Amino acid sequence: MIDFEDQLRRALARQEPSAGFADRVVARATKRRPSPWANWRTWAAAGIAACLCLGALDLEMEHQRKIRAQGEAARAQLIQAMQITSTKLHKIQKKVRGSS
Amino acid sequence: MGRFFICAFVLAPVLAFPQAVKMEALDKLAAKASQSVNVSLDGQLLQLASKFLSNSDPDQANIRKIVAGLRGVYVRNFEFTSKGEYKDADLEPIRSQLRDPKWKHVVEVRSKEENADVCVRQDNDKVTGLAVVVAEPLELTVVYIDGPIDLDGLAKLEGNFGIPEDIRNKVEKKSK
Repeated sequence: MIDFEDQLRRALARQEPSAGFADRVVARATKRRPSPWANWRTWAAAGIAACLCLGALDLEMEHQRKIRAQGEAARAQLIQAMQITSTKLHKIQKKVRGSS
Repeated sequence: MGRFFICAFVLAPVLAFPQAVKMEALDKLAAKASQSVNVSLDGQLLQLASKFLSNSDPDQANIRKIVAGLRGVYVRNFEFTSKGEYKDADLEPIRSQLRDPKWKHVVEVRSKEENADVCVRQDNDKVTGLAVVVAEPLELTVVYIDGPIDLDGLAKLEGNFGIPEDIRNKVEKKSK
């Protein structure tokens, strides 16, 4: 039992740090970390991300432009179709009235 | 039994919607025509077109209501510079489709130079299609409107769009 207590006391005994420990801690704490923006890789990644965003935005706008153009063309076709149908039906009506 | 279900699965869409009038046979006439109009608007395009119709114009607002239930609007119109550029046989592929028992002739005009037909397709007393064929010496027009047609709505259209009352009455009489 005494042997165990001795072992424990030795293991938990205060130990002095190695020489210059405090200076090293202070030096590391005061050392400035380099900003992530100083790294060219960060700038490149940000640039690529911005390009991708702009590309996606442009694609979406192009898609919307295409849909609008398609819609306008379809609208014009629909109105033309209705006009032709109506004109022909009026003509047939005149013929029918004329023959009766 | 399995084959029955496969056949039913394949045929279901065909049976659910009446056969559409195919107008591709007329497209060759575009080469001979001095002017041609080819309108082929399926259900999807009709819905897209209706989104772009003006709200302030009452006719266009009415067209939107009419188009809402349609499956397609198809028009072929050819103008020729001289007579005889098309033959009656060119119209046969269309006329043969309109001889189907589901189609009924509501107006038939026959004269020396001009022929005109107005046909309606009916399913359970409802008008589900309208076809107009007008053959003039210098002009040929075929119109096919696929889907349930609101004749009252069409009649309400003003200006150049409305279906004449006489023809509407004939369609209504036939469908009764």
